Amino acid sequence: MIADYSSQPTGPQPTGPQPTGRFISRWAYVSLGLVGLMSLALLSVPFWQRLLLTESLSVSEGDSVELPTIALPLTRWGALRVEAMASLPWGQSATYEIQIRDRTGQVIGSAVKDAWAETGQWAEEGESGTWDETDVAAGLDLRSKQAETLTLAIAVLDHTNTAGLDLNKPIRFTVQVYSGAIDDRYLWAGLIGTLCTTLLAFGAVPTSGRRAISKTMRRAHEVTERGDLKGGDRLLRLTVQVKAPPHAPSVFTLSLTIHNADGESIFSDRVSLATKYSKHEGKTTGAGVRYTGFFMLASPGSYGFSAAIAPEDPILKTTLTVYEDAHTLIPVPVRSLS
Amino acid sequence: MLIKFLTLSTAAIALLTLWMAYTQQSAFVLRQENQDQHWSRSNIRTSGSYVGGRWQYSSRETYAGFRGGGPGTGK
Repeated sequence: MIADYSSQPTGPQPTGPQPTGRFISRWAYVSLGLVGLMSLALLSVPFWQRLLLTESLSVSEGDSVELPTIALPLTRWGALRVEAMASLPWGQSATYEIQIRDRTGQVIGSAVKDAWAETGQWAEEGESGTWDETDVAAGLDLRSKQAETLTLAIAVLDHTNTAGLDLNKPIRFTVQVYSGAIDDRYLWAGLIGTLCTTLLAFGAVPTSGRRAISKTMRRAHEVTERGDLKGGDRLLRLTVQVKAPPHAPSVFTLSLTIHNADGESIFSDRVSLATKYSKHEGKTTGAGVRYTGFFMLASPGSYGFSAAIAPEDPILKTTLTVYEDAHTLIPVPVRSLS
Repeated sequence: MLIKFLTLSTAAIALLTLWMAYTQQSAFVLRQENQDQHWSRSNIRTSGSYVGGRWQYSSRETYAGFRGGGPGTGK
């Protein structure tokens, strides 16, 4: 075996702990899973729906035309959906009715639609064109508390042109009847609602936990504070935030020390932090650095935390915060201290 | 705690809207007087109501476009 002596690293290598996912917030991901469930519920809507009949019919004002008889069984899920579409020429309006008749021909429900189709010209700032707008479709979802045999009918109550003159021409309708129709409007509302609460839940994870220490020092490069912590199987999140004026250097060095109750140092580290500059309208308005570290403490007690930032000259304020019982969104490296 | 509360809210919204959608609570229920949950589709409105189990048309004159049964009747 030939040893390879080329480019061997010298000195101790900074090896941090491996990232662990044991403090990931399961609740936040359960919430995300529910958003997925709502999406699936929306996508599955067409698979429940069955087309029972498609009919084309012509109806004149004052008249009504029946569709073939359909059975409405008693079901727990979905409804019978009637979708009617009037073919109205431009410049006409009609009031039509969907009637539901039982096996004896008795009307047991009805709903009306004011349909219209209009077109015109527009001119604005030297440009012109035509516009057209229609509202001719009607939909009715039906449910029953008992099995029914139904006959649907379309009646035209009124048919006029834009001048208000009655027209005695028949209107063509296309009617489609589906079973198993699901009301997707609630599902859209549910998707938006669950998405909002899930975004809030995800947003709450980086500030989760019990705040043990929060100390801000103005015009100081060092913050030291002591706090009581429970330790054990709890994640500790330590953040150091530094605000500096716009002319701050591009790199700061943070010296971090944690002491136990006896004042002995149980952790000490120096990290280089790249400065982030905030800009407004192309001008640098401020600068800052941020550090987040994760720890676990073996035993409960009073712990001292000290953060010192260098160079110390241009610092406006330094904030040290420690949260216990914190959670994360992604696996993070955690240092166990004892 | 806050995350737990938000997740429980998500679950409540999901369950409620799934139930409302799949059981079609917004549909028109045949032979039922109370139609409070009916949420009409595409600007349609029911033209009557159940009185004593029978469908009673609301007055035809209330229709916006109605002109009284044709030209010349003078209503």
